[in-house]
Amino acid sequence: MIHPEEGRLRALMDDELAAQEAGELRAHLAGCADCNRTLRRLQEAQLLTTALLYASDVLAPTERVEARLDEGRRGGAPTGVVSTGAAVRSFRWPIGRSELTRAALLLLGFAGAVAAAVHPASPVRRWLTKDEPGVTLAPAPVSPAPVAVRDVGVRVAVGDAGIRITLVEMAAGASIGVTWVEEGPAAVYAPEGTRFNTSEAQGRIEVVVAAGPVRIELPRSASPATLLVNGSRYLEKTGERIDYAGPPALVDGATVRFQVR
Amino acid sequence: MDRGESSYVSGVDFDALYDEVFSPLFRYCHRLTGDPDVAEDVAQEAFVRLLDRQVAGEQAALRVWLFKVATHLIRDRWRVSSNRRRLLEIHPVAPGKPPDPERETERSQEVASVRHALETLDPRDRELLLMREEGFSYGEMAEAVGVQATSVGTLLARAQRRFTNAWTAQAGRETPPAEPLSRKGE
Repeated sequence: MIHPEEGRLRALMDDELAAQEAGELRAHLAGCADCNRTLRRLQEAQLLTTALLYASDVLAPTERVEARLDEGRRGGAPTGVVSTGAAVRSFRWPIGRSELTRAALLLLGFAGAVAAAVHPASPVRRWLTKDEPGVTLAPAPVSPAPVAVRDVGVRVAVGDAGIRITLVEMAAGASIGVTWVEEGPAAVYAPEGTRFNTSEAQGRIEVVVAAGPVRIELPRSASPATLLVNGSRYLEKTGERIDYAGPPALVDGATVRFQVR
Repeated sequence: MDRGESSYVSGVDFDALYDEVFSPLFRYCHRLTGDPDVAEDVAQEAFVRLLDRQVAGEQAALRVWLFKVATHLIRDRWRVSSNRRRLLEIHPVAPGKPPDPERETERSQEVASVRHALETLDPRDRELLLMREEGFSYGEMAEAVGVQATSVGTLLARAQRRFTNAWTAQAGRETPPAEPLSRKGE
């Protein structure tokens, strides 16, 4: 039996093969235990890699760099000095080192749950489930949270430009629920105190979130549709393709839930 | 950034590009170098070059351009300052103020383990591994790093195996996963 190269299995895993080649490979996998083991090992390695890298990350010093770029764009030389009075900034990113630990735990918890599901005897699983406060395998890392009754919100009709929703100042651990609706405008709802800025012409909703949770409605026809949270892309829809690039996404019917890291 | 004065770089909304790319770019640079200060400098320098040179293109293409510039800036830094890597191995950066010294020590060890595992990779493999984590396609990664798109899958699989093996081999962790089977005819 001729087995496919490992790189092709990796490309299949990454959805980087043409349809015909992917079909051929899947047909081979249907009858080859060796290649299934290889694919499973690749998937485990991917999970472990992502979990380890996230656990080692620090948050981006976005605001300081913003100030320097503002200086540069005004014609002044970048000085590296933060001048809080230099410009009225509508957005600020939370830069809390203490959030890192919680983010790491959340991601480790997620990776552990998935790794266990993929391969219960995995050494990855043993490491991920060691006695870490706050890390458990059983519950899903993202739990649905009801939206407060006194929510406020905005709606923006989605045109050819698509829709881009930017949430900032979201606290780590806050939940975001994105519901795909059959038709209608894009909408964002959040607790009172939240500030909204919209541009229907550009298809934009920018939100300074007072507190979580946040509920978003997106029409299925919206394309492109982007959700940015604290500077990170959580969701990208182009045509019928939807990529979840942010923290673990828990699909619950027509709703996708995230927990901010 | 003042949203009332959105600036455009050759037709691209700079603010939107910055919102979308800066954090991932910083994360990529930090993972590559292990040094948040270097990561910040490099990510900033990439954006400054974008403004200075008035680079044109679609937002997705500019994202690749920024990562490519950052990758080359980091390569240049390594060439002129090879001691930094040794220094980072000896004194890995451990972010965060320790709320719990014991836990923070453990975390520092984990961070050091990850850095060590990354350092075992060839620079090119490390760049590919980390760009994939940022969601780039094989074509985009090939362009930024300078390899054939058709070889990315193989290079990625190898890089990931080396990374996870290096990590699991440390400090008496479990036996690393086995090397792949021969993929030729068996």
